[in-house]
Amino acid sequence: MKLATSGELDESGLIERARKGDREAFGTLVERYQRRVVGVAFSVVHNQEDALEIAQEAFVKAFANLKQFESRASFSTWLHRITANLSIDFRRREGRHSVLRGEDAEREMEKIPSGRGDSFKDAERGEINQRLRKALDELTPEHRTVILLREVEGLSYDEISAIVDCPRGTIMSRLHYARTRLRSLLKDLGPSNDAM
Amino acid sequence: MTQCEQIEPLLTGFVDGELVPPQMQAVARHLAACPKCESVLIEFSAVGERLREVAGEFQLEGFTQSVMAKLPRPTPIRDRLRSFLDLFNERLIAGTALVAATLAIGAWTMILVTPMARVLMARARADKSAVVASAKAEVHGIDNATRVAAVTHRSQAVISRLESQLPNVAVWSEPDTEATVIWVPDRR
Repeated sequence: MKLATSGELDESGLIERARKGDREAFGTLVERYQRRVVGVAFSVVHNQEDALEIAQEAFVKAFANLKQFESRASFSTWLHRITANLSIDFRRREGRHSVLRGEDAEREMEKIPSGRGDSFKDAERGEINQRLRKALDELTPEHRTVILLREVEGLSYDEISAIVDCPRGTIMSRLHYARTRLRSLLKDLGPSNDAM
Repeated sequence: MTQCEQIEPLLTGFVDGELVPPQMQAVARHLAACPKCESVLIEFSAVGERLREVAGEFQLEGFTQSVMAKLPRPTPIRDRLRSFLDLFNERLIAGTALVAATLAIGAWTMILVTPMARVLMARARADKSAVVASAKAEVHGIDNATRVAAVTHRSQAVISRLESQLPNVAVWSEPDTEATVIWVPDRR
């Protein structure tokens, strides 16, 4: 399947074509937004395999409902909202309010590529990751979602507010609580090698 | 409340650049003079770095193809036309059957039911007239027991046994007015 390259067509043109059933145009939109959509799903369900499945479902749902999308709105926000709703439904259905503890967390961590060849650093990184995962598990799903959407996905408060359907002030206070809690849980780790 | 306590809740908005300009300036001024709050800010940033590290990269190979495979396939025009014609045929057959059934019922009603109903209704009317006439005649002088028995038998009027057993009393119903008439002769 040949898909148009990113940036080849403007977003509204792609949406309009996809709305008329142009699968190629929709494929370009999928290429363009897949990383962020998976990230949004991951922020809520906190599991990569589930996030990938939910993201696929979100794109299929978006394609089916493209006629309902109002061009004045932001396509990405609309798409993220669909993804967040599916993810929240999934979390409720699966009862995964505190996912990936113990062995599950370790197994999930092993799937994350480190991208580095130094085995000592890899081991150290693995330990840090494990600590961070556990610290994230200590948060409520609501706090974990906003901190991941902000820090990992880089979304603005307005975007997060639209996705999780909460006022901006609530987003800021949840973020503050999550950061303070993680800071306290990870205090003895020392500075991040990449950050410092 | 100390100035640190006032500033601390704003550090999150400051690190994200989400405060309004006066708040940004106030926090920046405070941070320049407060190493404690500055270290909190650094640690907040470090938390973000750590999270980005642990998030890693998602396995997106083949993702688009998987999505595209799940999208509903558009139906070719020929198939759409065929399914439309099939639907039309089904509806045509169903419609024809419905019309035929309606006509059959109508004919049956006209040929058989209506004349029979007319006969029955005429018979019922005749019976009713006979009952009324009989009751009226009986009221005007026929023997009481015969009168009551006739009314009971032919008009299906409600006459209680008690009343029928009492001499000089007659009870019958008037179907036209839905009234029950109790006839008691004057005692002299």
